[in-house]
Amino acid sequence: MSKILVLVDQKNNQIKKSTFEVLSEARKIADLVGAVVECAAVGTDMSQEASKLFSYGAEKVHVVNHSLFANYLNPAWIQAYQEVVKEVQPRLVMTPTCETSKDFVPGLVSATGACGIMDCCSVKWNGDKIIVDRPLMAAKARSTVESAHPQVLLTIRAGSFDVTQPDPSKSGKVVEREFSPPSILQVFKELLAVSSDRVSLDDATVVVSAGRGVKDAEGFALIEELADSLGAAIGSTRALVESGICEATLQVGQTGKVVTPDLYIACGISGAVQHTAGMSNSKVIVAINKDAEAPIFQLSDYGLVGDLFKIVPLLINAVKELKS
Amino acid sequence: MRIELNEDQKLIQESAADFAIKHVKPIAAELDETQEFPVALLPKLAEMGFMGIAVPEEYGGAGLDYVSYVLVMEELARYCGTTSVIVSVNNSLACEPILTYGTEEQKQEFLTPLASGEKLGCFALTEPNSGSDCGSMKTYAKREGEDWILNGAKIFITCATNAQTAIVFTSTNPSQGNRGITAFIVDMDQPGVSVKTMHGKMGIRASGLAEIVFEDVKVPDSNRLGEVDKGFKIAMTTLNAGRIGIAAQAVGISRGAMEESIQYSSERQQFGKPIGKFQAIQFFLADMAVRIDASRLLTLKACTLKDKGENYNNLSAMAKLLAGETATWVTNKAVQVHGGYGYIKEYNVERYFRDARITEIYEGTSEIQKVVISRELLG
Amino acid sequence: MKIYVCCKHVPDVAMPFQIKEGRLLSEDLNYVLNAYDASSVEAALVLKETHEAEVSLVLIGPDKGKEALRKGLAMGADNAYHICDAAFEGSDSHAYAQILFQFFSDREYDFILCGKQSQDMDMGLTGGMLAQKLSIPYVTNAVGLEVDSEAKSLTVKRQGDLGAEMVQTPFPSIVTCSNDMNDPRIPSLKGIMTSKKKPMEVIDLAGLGLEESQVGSSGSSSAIVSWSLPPERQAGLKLEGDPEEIVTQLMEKLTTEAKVL
Repeated sequence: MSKILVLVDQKNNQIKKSTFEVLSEARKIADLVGAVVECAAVGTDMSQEASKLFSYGAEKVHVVNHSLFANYLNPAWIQAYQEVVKEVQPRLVMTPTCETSKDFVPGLVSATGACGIMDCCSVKWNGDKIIVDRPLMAAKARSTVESAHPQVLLTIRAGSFDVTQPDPSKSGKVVEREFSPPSILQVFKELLAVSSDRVSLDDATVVVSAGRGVKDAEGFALIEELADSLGAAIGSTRALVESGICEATLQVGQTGKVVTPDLYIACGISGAVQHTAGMSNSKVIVAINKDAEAPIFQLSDYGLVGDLFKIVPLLINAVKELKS
Repeated sequence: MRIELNEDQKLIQESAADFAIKHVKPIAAELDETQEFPVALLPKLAEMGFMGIAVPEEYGGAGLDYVSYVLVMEELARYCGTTSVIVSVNNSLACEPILTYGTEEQKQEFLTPLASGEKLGCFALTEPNSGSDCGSMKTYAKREGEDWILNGAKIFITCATNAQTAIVFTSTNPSQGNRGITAFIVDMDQPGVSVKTMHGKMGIRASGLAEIVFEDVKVPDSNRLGEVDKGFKIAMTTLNAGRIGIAAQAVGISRGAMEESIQYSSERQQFGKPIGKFQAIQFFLADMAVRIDASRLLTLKACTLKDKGENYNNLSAMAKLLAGETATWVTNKAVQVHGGYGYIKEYNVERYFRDARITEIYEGTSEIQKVVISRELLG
Repeated sequence: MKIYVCCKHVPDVAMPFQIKEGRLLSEDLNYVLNAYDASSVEAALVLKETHEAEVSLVLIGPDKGKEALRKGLAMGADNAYHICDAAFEGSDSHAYAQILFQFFSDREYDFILCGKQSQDMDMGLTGGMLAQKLSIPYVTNAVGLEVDSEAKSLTVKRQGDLGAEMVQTPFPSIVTCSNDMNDPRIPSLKGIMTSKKKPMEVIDLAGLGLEESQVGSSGSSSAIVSWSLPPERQAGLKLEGDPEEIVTQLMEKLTTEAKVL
């Protein structure tokens, strides 16, 4: 029987929402073609967390626990996944697109001899062909790509698929694997992480985003207040990251994160394509900008033309009132 | 029809365009507002090699041709009239006469710093009472031993506020008019030279325009450019070259106005659609495109003649005449396309309209160009 | 130090393009040096300012691809290799990696830089695949790069999922670069003119010792079958006027119409 293998994306041994999106779709495809769905998870301690995958349709989870996975260096990930792939021999491998997968997938694809296609937004398994759609040309265009290669590895663009309702009655098997670390020539020196209590961009259903119109740290504090009132994550454009007002991990766009929240509020963002490439698939887009001709208004469902320094405080009050 | 650029020229155009977008576009509106000469831009222009484009490498220049020069000029002017005129003055009005008429010593001493951008030049011809009729100038140079003593005043001199080197035209034989003019290379920092900024220009407002007053300025004879009483020819041939640069400037300003009009026409909506869907606007844009392309082609033709060493006086006059009038016409229509927004500083076409106007006046008025052209036709 | 930078000549994605009948109309497009590769070239040139280094460019592409190489040479690179053959057309990342592997397999180098992805395909596979084939370590998405030529190692600042990471990797390695790393220099007029005299070697299929079956469509494991435009988002409601009023209107819409609050 054919197999679909989903590689799990985790943070601090917690499975990210994006993995459940991919797994849900893998399950749908498997049901259509009559395939088995298995997962592979690497981390320092993923065994317990792995059982969450069964209610979304995984039948078996291969877990590789090792202290090496505390910090990211690609040889460990490539070796661990390569061994699982060798054993499972999946026809199709799927994993969410993220910085980590963008980094290890090229090496993994070469090591396994699979055909790699990055950042897909739709997947069809048609007989001996895997057919995907994916954005390209800075997300201004879409292409349909086909492969008849015996093993295809896809990374999946965030928000492409819906998470199915979990079925807690479903169960499966967690298999812990032995792992002999490969020789690793790279050395992980330091993580300059940003710690925050705020919900992260990857998981948020509401995102409040700041652009050049926010001007400075003081303006950014206003955006933070709005985000907190909504329980939202914060995003930003490249301009703000470059001027040092916020961290690069908050950057949404072509070279940043791609997000698909239910609500995206763009404050002082003009709507240049490099940014919109990362948020144009949000369910509802609200834009606040003093320039009535700003391109963002071509995208937004609700656009407010005016001074964000006047509008945002009013919005904060309105939200607080609503929540009380 | 677009003239095909070769590989080198495409790279030159690309570099100039990238430079203009990165360094010139962000400051253009501010320059217009403050009228402050863009001193910080000079070393960047020099580093790119833009200050002596057609000067041979042995004298610190980039060793290229006039086609390359106008490609750079158009890209700079697309965003900023001030920046483009500064580059034009240094290249065509300061470097060019020394290159053509200077002695080897003069080229080494004066041309190299100008072409490399180490020093900035200016061209002092015009006086309060002598514009087109430059033969009637009053600034006087009197021989005294190994030196000349200069006395007089020049006005409307671009870059004078910041230049270290000036090409100064003086009357050395007043009764002879045109045939009694001598040119000198003058150190602007020496005693007797004073500069007074001329404020309140309609456009190209940060170009360092000033009056220069010469009070008993001692200039060594070794600084005399060309022969005594033979300076008129130097002024005329220099202006011939200069007008190609100005034609390119006019083309660039026009193109900027047109591009912004195209953008605006696709965004501005009235009566339920972008105004670019209305024929009136479409016709404005079509007319702009034709005039700009024709001006560019005449300019390039003048360049190719000059680069081949052929007589280009007529062509440069035609190019400047057409390009200047085109700039006035195009920027005027661009303001019209923008409606009320074209009348307000927030939109660039307001500045382009004011910057464009001078291209019909300086370095030879449109009327002078017609004198040159008709002379060619009638003999 | 011997540094190679892999480059690609790609359509300028900042300019409009047309897709007709499932095909990208590429004939009229303006092609440029891939922005991510330009950052890689810049990174190499910055290192060249403080270390003794030779910067060589490599590009797989048709004849006009040499324009991208000329741009890199005009920026300051020392020499270039143009891998050019009609057989390479239709290659996907796997085929490109194979071709580059063949090119590098008998060459000496300290490290190879390339853009993390190309602006047209946005695939980002080639660099890492090449490293794996060459059995050398790789680090992707670099936003900072430092070299210790004595210790023969690179310190890479990369953007990861949790934040910025500092990773050290020894010679030889491949580093793929983000355009967040730097602002590529604009070639000066002098740079453009001297680039004409710099060596550019053209290598074809036979020169690399490859068979036609290993490259082009035959050597690829996937293929683009059609192009389309992404679903367009329609412009929605635009509210102007008194801030209090429009905020009230917005809240109403978000709760009753969009139902996201």
